[in-house]
Amino acid sequence: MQEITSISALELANKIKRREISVAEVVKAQLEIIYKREPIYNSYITVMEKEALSQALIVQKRINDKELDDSPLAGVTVAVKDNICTKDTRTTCASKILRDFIPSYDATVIEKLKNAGLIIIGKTNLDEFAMGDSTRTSYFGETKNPWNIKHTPGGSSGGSASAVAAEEAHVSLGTDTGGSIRQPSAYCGLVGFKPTYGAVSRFGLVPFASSLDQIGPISRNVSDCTALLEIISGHDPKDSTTVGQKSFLYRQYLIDDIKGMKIGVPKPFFEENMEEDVRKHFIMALETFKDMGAQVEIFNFEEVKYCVQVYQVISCAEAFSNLSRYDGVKFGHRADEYANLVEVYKKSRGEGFGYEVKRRIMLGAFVLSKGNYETYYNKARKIRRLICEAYDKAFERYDIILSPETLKTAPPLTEKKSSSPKKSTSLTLNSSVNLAGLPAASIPCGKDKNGMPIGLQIVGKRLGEKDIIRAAYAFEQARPCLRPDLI
Amino acid sequence: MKIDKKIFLTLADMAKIEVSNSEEKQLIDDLNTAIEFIGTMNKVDTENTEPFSIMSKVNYALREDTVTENYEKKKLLANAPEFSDGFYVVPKTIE
Repeated sequence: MQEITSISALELANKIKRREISVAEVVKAQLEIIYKREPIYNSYITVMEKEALSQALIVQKRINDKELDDSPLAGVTVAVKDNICTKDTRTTCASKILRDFIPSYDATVIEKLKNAGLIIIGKTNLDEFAMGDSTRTSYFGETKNPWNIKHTPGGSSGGSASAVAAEEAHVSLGTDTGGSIRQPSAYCGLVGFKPTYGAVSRFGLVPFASSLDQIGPISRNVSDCTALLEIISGHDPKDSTTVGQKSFLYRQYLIDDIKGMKIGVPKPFFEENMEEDVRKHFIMALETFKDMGAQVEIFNFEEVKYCVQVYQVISCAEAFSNLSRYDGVKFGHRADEYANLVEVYKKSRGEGFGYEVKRRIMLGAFVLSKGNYETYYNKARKIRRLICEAYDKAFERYDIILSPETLKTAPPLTEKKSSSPKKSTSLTLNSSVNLAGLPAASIPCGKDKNGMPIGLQIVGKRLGEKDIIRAAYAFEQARPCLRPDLI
Repeated sequence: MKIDKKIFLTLADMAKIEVSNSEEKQLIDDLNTAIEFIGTMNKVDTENTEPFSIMSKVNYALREDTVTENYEKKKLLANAPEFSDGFYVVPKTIE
């Protein structure tokens, strides 16, 4: 039974196509593993047993009728971060304020998953409204890292990462505003892909910072990730920020050949205060790329020096606006006691939001308020333009840019929660990518002395997913992904 | 600029969030730390730079603004904390 949940998603889909196993058997096996392991890991907020079992029959019929011959992942289970709307299944954003919210429509990515015959097995845990890097700000409890349950899986897509690492789903969807797909993927030894801004529809994604948010896949290998990325990508009339191209064919770039590829390594990222094991494995990864025939060069990239500050200002400003919809009137939590309408707003939001969400909304209010707008918000937007231009310039010389995904491996859950951006281990490396709207992946590149996985970040040019896929695939052939010992 | 209690209460009012006494001190401290941190951006010369607005190099495709979805009113209202006769219910706003 366990083999069904531990093999790759593409392998499993082939077994289903060859009638070696039915979709219902896959779903039952997956549910069995989920119920066995959930008390340990807490990857899910909602397990969709009933829906998954009924979908299994529908998908099986479509496979039998040869409707899904071209779909690479038909019948495979997928976990979805709980800030992506699922029709008739609650979507909580891991917040008290939305704990009972049931969307009346599916996000576009959900429609795409269903059309491609994937089975949505559950909604995964996250930091409240995707604001955090540990999944510990969730209203639904903390999630554990399957490599070592005393450590965080990272965040904010911590549940989506731990579900895939713990084989509680074959693949998953996360969202990434400042590294929230890549960092938990690195912490859990997985492949995580943040697509180009506009390559994947955000329709139905509960917004945190609209100019930075993107939905993307998490998986146990590069090929599964590429297949899922292909399924969810493409133009959506319901999201005017999506690119015009209807669909993307990414699997053709799963090529084990990167001879002549030009790789840039930003000097500031190289000089960050990273753990010794992270540095060692990053240098080894660079050597691997050189051995495979790539040209690696370190370059100056001072423009990214203030990217965390810029990220803080822009993401909090957008969050202030986006989260104003939670008013205790149309949906979500309403306080029990209030004297007037303003009190409904204030008390409902005061009771419904957690500490970190309040902090970010208030920082957003500060940078947008009269007298501060120019000093902080517009200043950040100007530096954002400089960061975009610096990336454009870098990509005139390089096909991809490499850095460690995080400066440290997954910290212990006992480490004090911190709201300080300065203490964040991965924002520096990650957030500039979101500010510039670029695609980036994290792939595993080794383990530290305690056996915790280390991630390597590959950044591509705008709509340069193909270069990332080629580099990631070639690297994976040389240094295959490792798996944790599961309980 | 430093946030004191007065500015903090204005921000809380703008954000429409009631903050408990137990959270207030921590929030003021954390906001001041954050403001000090983001203030370091001023070291960057942006004299001749326009603020970034949209991903200008992306080829956006717009559509006609037509009604395509028919949401079920009942389902939408079901998410509301309080509703009556097909309307959301809020406390009286006009005396």
